[in-house]
Amino acid sequence: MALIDLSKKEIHCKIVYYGPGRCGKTTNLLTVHSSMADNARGKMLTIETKGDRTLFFDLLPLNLGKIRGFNIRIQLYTVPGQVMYAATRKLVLKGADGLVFVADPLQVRRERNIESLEDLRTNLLEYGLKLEELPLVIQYNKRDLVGTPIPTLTVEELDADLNSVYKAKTFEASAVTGMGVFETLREISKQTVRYVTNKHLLHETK
Amino acid sequence: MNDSPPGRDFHAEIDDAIDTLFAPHAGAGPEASATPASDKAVSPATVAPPAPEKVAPLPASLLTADGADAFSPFEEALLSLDWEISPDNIETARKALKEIQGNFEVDKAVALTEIFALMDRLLEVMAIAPQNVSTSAPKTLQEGLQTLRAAAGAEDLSLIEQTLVDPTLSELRAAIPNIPKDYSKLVSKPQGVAGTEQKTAAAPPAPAAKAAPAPAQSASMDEDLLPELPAAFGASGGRPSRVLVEAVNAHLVVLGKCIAKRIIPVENLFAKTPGYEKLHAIHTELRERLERQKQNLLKALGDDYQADAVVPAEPAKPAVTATACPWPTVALADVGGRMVAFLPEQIAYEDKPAGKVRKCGSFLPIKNLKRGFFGKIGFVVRGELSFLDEAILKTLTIPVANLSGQEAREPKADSSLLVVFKANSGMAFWLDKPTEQLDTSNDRWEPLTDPGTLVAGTLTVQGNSVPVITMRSV
Repeated sequence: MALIDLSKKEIHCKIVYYGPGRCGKTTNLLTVHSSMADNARGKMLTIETKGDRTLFFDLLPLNLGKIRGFNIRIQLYTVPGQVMYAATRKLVLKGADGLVFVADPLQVRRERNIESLEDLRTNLLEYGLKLEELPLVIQYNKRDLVGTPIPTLTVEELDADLNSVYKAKTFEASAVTGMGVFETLREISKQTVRYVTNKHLLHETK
Repeated sequence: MNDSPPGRDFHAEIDDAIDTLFAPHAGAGPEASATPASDKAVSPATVAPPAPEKVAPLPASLLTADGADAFSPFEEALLSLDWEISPDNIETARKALKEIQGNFEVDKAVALTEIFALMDRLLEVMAIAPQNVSTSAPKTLQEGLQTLRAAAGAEDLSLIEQTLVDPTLSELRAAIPNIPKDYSKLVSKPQGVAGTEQKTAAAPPAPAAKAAPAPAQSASMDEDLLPELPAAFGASGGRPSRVLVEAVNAHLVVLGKCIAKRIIPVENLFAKTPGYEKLHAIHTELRERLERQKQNLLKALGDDYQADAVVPAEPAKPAVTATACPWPTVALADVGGRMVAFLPEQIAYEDKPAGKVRKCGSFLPIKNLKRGFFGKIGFVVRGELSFLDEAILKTLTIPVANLSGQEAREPKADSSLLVVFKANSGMAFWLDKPTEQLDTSNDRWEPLTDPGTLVAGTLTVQGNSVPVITMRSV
């Protein structure tokens, strides 16, 4: 849930990057972190195993600066995508104000994408939230693999699998090269801040 | 007004702030040409994927009939594994790896044996004990694959040995956890053996020794380290280098000797020693694996096998001079007017004992060495003797040496007692004066090979011949 402190005029929004294991969620955050100016971003917290998988979450606070006296901060989280970390994934999802679903376009991952989206929907329901009511952007990552011998899904196939119900904005991206990372972030940030202010701030200041 | 209630303008300002924050990054780079894939604009064609990384062309044996890359099935299998470690995914990956191995050029397959073996081993361990495998194992395998791909396209493996092969080997070794042998299906692949294999086999590559693709071998749990080579060296159209053949022949000779003279005796020893069943099983398995490896090498050599191959002489070790004493220091003492030397590590006791010990005669009960009624023998002895139980020490009696050959008589009042002990054998000596350490490096040594004596040899100390007394054969 967004943290809104009217006395300090602070708004904190939580955006969670969700998706199957190894789809590039952490890479998205790393790209954002490495590209942003120091004064606009905070420290990136990453908890990892010996290897390279995110076992818990990455938290990257971004500062939008003051708008009408309000300090707006966006916190980006990722969740561990591996199946075995369902509990952690659910925990990180708690209080999410916006969601980026990062889809893996590899054909061998087709079912995993669908399962992960379903996992997201189920976890949100357990918090009393509906996916269709939350700000959601879907990112089709690893598009740099299109054209290589590795079989990938087309955008149409991905749309049919993942976005036929939610009709969310989708972006093609390649987190490793940076393509589409900020477009995704910009869109979800706008949606999320708007959602948060509409839901909380406008009501409370009336 | 700065703190006016938020409203429509407020959202516009937020959008502007977000645009300002992210705009420098979005679309700034040459490849940042992302477009919304839906919501009014779905145009995959507008996204220009970056050109695939340029890699060296693969040899024809690693391309399928339709020109596809033979590595792709393994790559896809790894991606599946990345998501889920399941028996099916592992089996698929292992089959794909075998397929690649079978299609490699013979000389490269031999040189990359360890990488193939370690990758297969890692997959095997993932199947048997996935909980023990790091979550980065699929990535490690991916890196192994990239190395294999680079090796396939490389003209000279030595060029990528340090930059790719060695780091990959290190990572693969680090990724494989130690799994107890209780995992019945697990066949361990000792690193040392594999390393030896690779070193031996990584001789200069055979000129244009291109292998005919072999039919895919189904991966089994008990396959040996050495890959199933496509054919004998000479049967694949090209000839292996003479150096390689000689190296493998020499390795076979060494392998045979190793099995016969090292492994089998130890295996037999463990077989008849109670409590060493596990070690026996390990040695049995090791022998079987080495024998399989030998068979594989024999098969690979074909007609080039030479049973009487000459093993290259090892670099000559610095010759040990006949005059060098095997012990760097000895304990010098006078016994019955004669200067003798003892080995410091065999000295279990040296002191001036109580009066009753002096009356022990020709045999000394060890229990007499203890001090006080409640004292313990173990506290006054050292070395091997101190490891024995007190109950055993109480029962031990050792002979007292009589170097003069005269009838045993009571030692002098100020003489010291010295007890030497090794491997359940001991002897006591009455010393005219306490021992002194002697550095033997400058003294001439003449060994004695007579097993029936306590004297291992003589040292010439300042012109005197000093016998060195040991418990070696008592």
